[in-house]
Amino acid sequence: MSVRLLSSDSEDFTVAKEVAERSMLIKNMLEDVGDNDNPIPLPNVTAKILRKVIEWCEHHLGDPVTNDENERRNTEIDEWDQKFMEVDQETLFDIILAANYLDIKPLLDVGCKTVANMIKGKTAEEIRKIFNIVNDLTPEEEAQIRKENEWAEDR
Amino acid sequence: MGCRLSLLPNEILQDIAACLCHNDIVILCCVCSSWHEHLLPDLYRQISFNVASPDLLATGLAKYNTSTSKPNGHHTREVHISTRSFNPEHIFLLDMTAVACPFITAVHFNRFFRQTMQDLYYDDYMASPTLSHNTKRSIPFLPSYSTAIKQLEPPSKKQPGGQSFIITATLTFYRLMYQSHPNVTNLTLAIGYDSPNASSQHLYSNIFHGALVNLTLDLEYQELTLERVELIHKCCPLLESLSIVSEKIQLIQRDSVPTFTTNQRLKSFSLSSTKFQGNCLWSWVWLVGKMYGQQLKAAHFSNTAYHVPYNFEDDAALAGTFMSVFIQQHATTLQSLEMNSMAFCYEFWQQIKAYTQGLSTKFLNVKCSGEPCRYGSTDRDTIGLGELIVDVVKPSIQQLHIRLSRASDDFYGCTNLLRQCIHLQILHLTRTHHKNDAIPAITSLAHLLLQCSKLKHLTLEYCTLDMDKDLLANKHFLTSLIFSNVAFTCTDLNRLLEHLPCLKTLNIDGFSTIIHSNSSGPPDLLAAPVFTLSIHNPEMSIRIDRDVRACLIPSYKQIPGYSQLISIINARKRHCWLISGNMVARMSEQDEQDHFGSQSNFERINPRFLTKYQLILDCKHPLRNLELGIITIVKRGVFAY
Repeated sequence: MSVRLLSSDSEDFTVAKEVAERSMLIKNMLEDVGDNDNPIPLPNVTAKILRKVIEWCEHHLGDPVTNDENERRNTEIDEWDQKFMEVDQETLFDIILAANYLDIKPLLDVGCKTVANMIKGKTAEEIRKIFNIVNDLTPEEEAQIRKENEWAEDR
Repeated sequence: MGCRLSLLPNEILQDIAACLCHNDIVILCCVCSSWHEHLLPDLYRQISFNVASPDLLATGLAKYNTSTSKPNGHHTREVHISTRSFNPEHIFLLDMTAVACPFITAVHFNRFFRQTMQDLYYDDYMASPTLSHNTKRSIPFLPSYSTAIKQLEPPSKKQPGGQSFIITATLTFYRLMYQSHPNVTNLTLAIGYDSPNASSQHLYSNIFHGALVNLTLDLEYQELTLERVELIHKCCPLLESLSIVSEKIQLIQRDSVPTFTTNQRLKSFSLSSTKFQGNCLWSWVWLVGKMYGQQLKAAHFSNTAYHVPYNFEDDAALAGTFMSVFIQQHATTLQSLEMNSMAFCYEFWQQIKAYTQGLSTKFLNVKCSGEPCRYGSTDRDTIGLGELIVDVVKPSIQQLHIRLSRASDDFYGCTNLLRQCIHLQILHLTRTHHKNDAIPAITSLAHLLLQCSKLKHLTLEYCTLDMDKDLLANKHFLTSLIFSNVAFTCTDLNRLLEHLPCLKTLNIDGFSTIIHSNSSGPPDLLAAPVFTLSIHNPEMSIRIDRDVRACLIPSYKQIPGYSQLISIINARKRHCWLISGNMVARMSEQDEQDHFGSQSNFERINPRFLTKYQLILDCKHPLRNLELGIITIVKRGVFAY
């Protein structure tokens, strides 16, 4: 059983149904339309990103699904996923957006954890540099925010 | 290129923040104003009383958040009232929580609630010099727990512990709490007091709110009785998870079949006793089978105290009934089963196996530790207990914690079966250990890892490692490896570490033993041996227990001594620590040379420091955490000692 997916730039992908159903969005769509040959249009995902997403879904086909929030959050990224996420920032964010749109929770988790790892232990200035963010806070405001939230230091 | 990260939807920014700790989120708030706006609520989602400055937290809760047009406290969902004693700042925070956090759904108390009631009575925070003037100005507007409790009859000196004061104070406290936080559905508390008469019903119906969904109850020294559980179910018809800790557990008589109806929503039942009561606990296993039927997804029973195994031989029929009722109800529907230190036995699992033959089990998590025992039949087992359990749970299991029981119930037999557990992620293998066992069973770790390719966390207890180097050809993605009472050679461990590129945690705990391997030449019987571990992974956390010892083969005789030297070498520097009992001391390079270069000389001066061995950690990168003995040397990459 296979399913056809159409990217925003009109590239046609044919994938196994189980692979496509890792996406809750597609799964629900398939349940609604039933069996038919028409490709499913995905207007928010480009071919380049869709190819990556399908690659991820194929690799993680047999994974058990956990609904436990804490467990999902606390497991670390495995090496395959780390390699998979070694892409430029633009692509990383596009994958996260696609995972969010297609509703693939585990892929979204991997994406968010990858970004979180880039942030951990860094200073505000370093983070601005990494993600190219303009600082619109005055030094006084920054100090104020820091001071107000100092209650949990050393925990 | 513009900033892509700030274009991500806010909910994704929050998902990212959920993977970070408090301090990292504070930093993110300082990056730019829109992040400050969106992430500030996350800082207050879960709060604890155990913080550096409770009054600063209280002020933060009351502060109006311009981006959400609400006080920060409106974002709080969970509060841990977990501090040993309440000072005026804590009381201020408590009162502020009542005003500023109406949407709290989870409240967790600790065992010091009784003390808290007394602190509320005696402490006068208006007069306290530690609170700032600004803080004091806002106090008169707070409806105060302490004001309400101060109006009660004072704790009487005559009654032990001021029982009647505590009970009225508790009732007052909970009435105010549910008034301020009507949405509480999760409650954790310790309540080791109520009068033996009917007033417990009054107390319970006031504490256990009808909307509670999750309840964790510590009964302390009181007996857990059927009546109490019945009362809880009556008070909380929506309960989905019930967890009770108690010192005493009522023995349920089989002729007194419980008649009360439990609710149909309960999914998880957990019972632990702080004293060993094997038969009482088993009677509750039977009761749970009777009471809850197939609705349960999780059933946990445990004895937390050390005990002598309960022997079912005294009453084989008793055990037989207890088990079979439970098994018939739960064997095919349970996802999580834990039976800790409760004389778990071969027959229990044999019955599960027989009952589920041809049916699929749903076990995701199974934990069975404790002394194995037998009842009834005296046949020799055909397979070991560990193998039996693995055989039953293999299709679905993700977390497994088992204890292997016989000498022949070896790790090899188990690992052959473990390969069929394709979803296994966490494994804890331990072995029944006898005092006279000089050399524990041998585990081929390479073999085990080869079989369980998805394994992330592995804990091994009471065994000797045997690395079969040919087997471990590929890398394995294990992230944590914990040895407790494991004997190994550094050569083997180094070879293993080379194949574990994702390893983040390595703990060498308990009386683990480093074996002097032959490959490094014959042992010098006069000097303490030197071992080297090569740590390649960046960001490793390592713990080495103070009881880790060394021995020489073939005699397996321990090298005597009082202290260990642990040297850490990385690209930038070398430093050395001496562990001696509870003491950990940093040594200068000169000391280290003296100590080792001419050990006999040093020991003549200071014989107390006779050294067992030196362990060198050869690190390519700085360590993330390092614990030696009972002391943390490095915490999150920073020297903490």
